[in-house]
Amino acid sequence: MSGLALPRLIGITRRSPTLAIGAAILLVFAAMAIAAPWIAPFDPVQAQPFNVLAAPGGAHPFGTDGNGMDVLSRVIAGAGWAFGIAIPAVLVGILAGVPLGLYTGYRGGWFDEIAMRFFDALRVFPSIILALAVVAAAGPSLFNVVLVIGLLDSPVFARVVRAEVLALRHSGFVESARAAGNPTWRILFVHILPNAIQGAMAQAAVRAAWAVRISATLAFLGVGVQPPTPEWGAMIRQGAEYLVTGQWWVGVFPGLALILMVLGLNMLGDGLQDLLDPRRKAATR
Amino acid sequence: MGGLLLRRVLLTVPLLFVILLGTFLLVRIGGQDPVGLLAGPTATEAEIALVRASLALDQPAWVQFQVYMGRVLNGDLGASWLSNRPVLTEILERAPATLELLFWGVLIGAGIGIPVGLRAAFHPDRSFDQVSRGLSLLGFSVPTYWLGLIMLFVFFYLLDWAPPGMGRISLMLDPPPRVTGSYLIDGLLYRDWEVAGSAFGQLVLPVLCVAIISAAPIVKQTRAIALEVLATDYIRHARAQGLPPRQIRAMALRNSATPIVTFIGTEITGLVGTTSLIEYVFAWGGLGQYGLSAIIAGDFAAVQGYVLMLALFSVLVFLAVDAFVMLTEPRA
Amino acid sequence: MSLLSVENLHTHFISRDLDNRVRVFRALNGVSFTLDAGQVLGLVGETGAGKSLTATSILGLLRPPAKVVAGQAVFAGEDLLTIKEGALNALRGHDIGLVVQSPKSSLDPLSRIGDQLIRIHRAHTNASGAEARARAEAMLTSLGIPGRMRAWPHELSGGMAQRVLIALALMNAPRLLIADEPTTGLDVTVQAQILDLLRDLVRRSGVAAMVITHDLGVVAHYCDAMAVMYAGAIVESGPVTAVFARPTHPYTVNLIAATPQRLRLGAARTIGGPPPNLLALPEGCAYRDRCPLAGPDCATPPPERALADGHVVRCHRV
Repeated sequence: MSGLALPRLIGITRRSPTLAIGAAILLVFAAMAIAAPWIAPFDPVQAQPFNVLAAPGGAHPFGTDGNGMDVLSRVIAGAGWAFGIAIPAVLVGILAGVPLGLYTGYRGGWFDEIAMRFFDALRVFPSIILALAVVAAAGPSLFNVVLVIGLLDSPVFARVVRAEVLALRHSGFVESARAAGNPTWRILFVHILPNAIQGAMAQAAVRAAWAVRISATLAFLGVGVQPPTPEWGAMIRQGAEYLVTGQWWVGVFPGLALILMVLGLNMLGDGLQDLLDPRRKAATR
Repeated sequence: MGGLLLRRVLLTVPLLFVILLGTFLLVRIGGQDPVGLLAGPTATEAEIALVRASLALDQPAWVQFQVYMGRVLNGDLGASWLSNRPVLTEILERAPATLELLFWGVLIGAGIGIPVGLRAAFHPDRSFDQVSRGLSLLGFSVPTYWLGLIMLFVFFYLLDWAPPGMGRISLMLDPPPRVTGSYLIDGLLYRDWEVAGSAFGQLVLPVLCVAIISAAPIVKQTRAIALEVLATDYIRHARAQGLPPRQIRAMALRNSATPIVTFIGTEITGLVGTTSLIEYVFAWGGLGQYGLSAIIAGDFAAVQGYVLMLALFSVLVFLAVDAFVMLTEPRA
Repeated sequence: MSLLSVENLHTHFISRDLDNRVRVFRALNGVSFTLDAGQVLGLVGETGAGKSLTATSILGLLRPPAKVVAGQAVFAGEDLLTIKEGALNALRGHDIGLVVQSPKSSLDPLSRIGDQLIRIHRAHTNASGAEARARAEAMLTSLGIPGRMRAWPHELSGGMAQRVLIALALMNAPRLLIADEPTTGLDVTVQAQILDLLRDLVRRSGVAAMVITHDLGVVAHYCDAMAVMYAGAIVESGPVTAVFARPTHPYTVNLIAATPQRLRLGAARTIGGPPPNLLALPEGCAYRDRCPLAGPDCATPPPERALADGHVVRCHRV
């Protein structure tokens, strides 16, 4: 099998350059997040009171911020925070959404109807406002941020899985599993889930992009992760006041890192969806 | 047809009910004391007692919801603890500023996004398509507020082409008398060119931001819709009939129009969120900034009213889209 | 001279799989036939034999990854496969009319029937609006659906939509009509009506027609000549009477035998064994794996043998 790995890699790259570039970007960020303590030139939260707002150059390629902290080290450390929020948030979304989608799709009836109408109703609220309001009301702890982002994600996973289940519900292998006397949960998780999970996985990357974006937005607005934590959104918040006085590096570099990471996740998601359904050619979000 | 639209309007009643339930539950999330959230941290004993009485907290939750629903239906959204003024009044004052930003932003965003998406679909996988797909992906990934900050940095600080991001009109000028609520339009109506010019100058950057952010999904979706239409049996058949390419494009365009408009309608909800962040960065003083500030400050009477208004706005946009579809689709 | 002469047509689907290997799906492997003015030819075979693809290849309507890799298709002295796109577009819908198999989805949902008829007429002629309108009304009347000018496609039944498609195809008095499974999905009684109508119109106007079908009954009732397709090639062709009187290729024999009540319209036809895998066709005769008469010599390409009356068959067992 390993002999086929390289041609397969080239094949996937040819078929979907988007996917390959997205995966490459994410690998870089993952490496950055893991190796941060070794590759960062400074401690990301170590203030140097005599070296505030130093322009990029010399020992500080990205300059220092208003506390005299090294911006490059903080940008590197931010990768860990982005993954650290996005991954658990998406897991929460999957853990809540997938079983819900399985159950509503398989059962149908009034439960399905109510769940779908509820998801429709959620769509009239802008997601950022909803996330912000709920986090603010529930208390802006990191745990709440992850939980709220994940729960707001769950309808997406529920819908994808539900659609697959509806297509599979009356297929031959499910009917025969039912005839063989398997309990409902077993049919759902053992027979249907493995077939329905593919679409959910492609969505996971896109939803992770959303989670990274929205958690940074919360931090930018001061709800969620607080300074001086090296989180990109919080860093942009710190840098905002300096932009109009000329110290652009404080807010620009974390913004670029944020764009690149979200772009990587979006490209990965787009590429996966293209690969799973070549006819789709990048349709819905 | 009118009957059909009426049916749609009636169908929104359960939706509105769920929305009310949502805002009702918002201040009760996680077992929080709604009085504390609604009255605010600086409330006096008397104010707390007033809020407590208005919520019917000694009654079961179902009765509390009925009381809340009754108040909302009477236009009573409570009072903001920050300003002590009725929330509804504050919202109506600020709505035109937001609508102005949203209207121009989405208009320009669609004006760029639809032609680009169509062109990409008509020549798929050519360089134009690839470049536009890349830019659209980038647009999906740029944080709204960061884009606003960079715009200010480049066009105000570096180039000095744009005014500072401090509201809807120069601080030296008084707003025009209110007719539509849009300073630009009201300034023009009163032939006050200085006011209109300043309002226009203030509008450019935030509108550009909303346009850029809204164009990204419009490009992507327009392209997908047009590609789908181009692959239909009737377009294939039109080709087999030897209709000129120009006519085939016109046919594809007309058949794409309804799904594109529907998509933009559903996008409005998200764009309201985008606009809020832009307002926050540019100190726009509209509904979005009001809502975000209220959330950050913990002014939950205002938050409740704001979220309710946003949902209502989305519902109205969805209804407008339905009406458009019914007018243009022979099948509807 | 024949009106349409297709020679050695090869169409392939060329793609790459996830391992970056080129995959070639040989959908058409040397299709050849001729069609004379006023003649009705039935192209018959199983699903996937390449009948529709033959038509789309000739008309230049292939979309990637499908591609004509060899052959020619000469229509009225011009090779449709090398002609300029603009000239081909002028022929399509004017000299060659196409009736497809999904009538309801093939009509522009946002245009009234009359407007669609007028549109195609004016796209190919200098007719005035009033002339085109008059012709469209006459055409609908001759197809038995008068007064439907202002109808929307979604208001039509399948049979009516198929009549509209025929009207569209005949609007510019073509010299060749290609009907691709024109009755699939319609009720049996409607099928007969449509086919009778089509035959009358063809006979009256003297237009040549190519009818693509999997239904031997249709061929027997409505065609002068027939060509049997298997795995992207024509295995047997000739006048309908001659082929039915003496089916010679084992596949044709099977096809006719598998029609339980012979030559009944809409009769089922199934053949033993799996359909051919076009990614890996056997060397020589493509029917070898399913053929009851196959022998070692079938591993070489079968020769073309001419029988009496223009009856031609490609088989080692003749």
